[in-house]
Amino acid sequence: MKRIKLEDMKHKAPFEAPDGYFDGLAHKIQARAVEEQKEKGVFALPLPVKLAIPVLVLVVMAVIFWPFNQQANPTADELLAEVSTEALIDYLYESEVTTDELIDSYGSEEENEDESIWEEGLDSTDLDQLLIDYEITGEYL
Amino acid sequence: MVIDHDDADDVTQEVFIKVYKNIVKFREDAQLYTWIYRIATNECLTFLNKKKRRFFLPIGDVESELLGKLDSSPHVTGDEIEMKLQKALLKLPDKQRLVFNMKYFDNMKYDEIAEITTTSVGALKASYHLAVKKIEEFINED
Repeated sequence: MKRIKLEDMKHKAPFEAPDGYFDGLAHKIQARAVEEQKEKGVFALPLPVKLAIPVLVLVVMAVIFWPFNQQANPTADELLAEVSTEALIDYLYESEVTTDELIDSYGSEEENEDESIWEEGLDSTDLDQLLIDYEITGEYL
Repeated sequence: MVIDHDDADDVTQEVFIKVYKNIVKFREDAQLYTWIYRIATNECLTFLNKKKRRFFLPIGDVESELLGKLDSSPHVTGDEIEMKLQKALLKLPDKQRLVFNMKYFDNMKYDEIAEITTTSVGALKASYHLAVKKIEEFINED
């Protein structure tokens, strides 16, 4: 059998367009172009602008809601600053806290500070000097 | 390239819509004919790539689909050997098929094809001769 060579064949593609296809094609494309132009309308913004819009909305929302958020959750210092001195005095009076109790509670903080002395390294000379200063005799030792 | 008439119609419309939208960007350093041809080839390859990606079809399935359309489409008329040539063409990679169609059916010069596909003349010649070899082998099988 003779070998078929491409160059010997008809250089013709077997595809045909339906009758009258090209007559209506220009009109079809024109109509589609007009339709796409209409659809674009307001949304015909460049891509960077489209991407920037949601970011801008988030920034605006953050600016609007940030101060309210801050006010909704005030810190302890801010709350205390709002209480007047008179109100504090009234509270102490009504809660029947005595002056001695107040002094004691203040003193306990000082004691706590004193405790830190013992946490630091003291040599025997310092300890002896402290015993003399506080007149601590042998009965306690 | 896309075998089916409806697909060819879609691609043709898309090409001219793109031409209409981008005509202001057309630089006169190329011929209008070459520029439109380039848009058309890009659209064709994009269409076929989309077809492969859609439904995650393997390449073989797209080939089967196009072969089916080749057999059933009322707009495909050709004798037995012409149909066999078309079936052999579907076995080629899309870009090689495109180059073959431009050279063999449209009788374009390598320089023109090179300008349209932005490929070197040497590469096009190699691609075409390889395609001819593969097609002749397929046609002469049996």
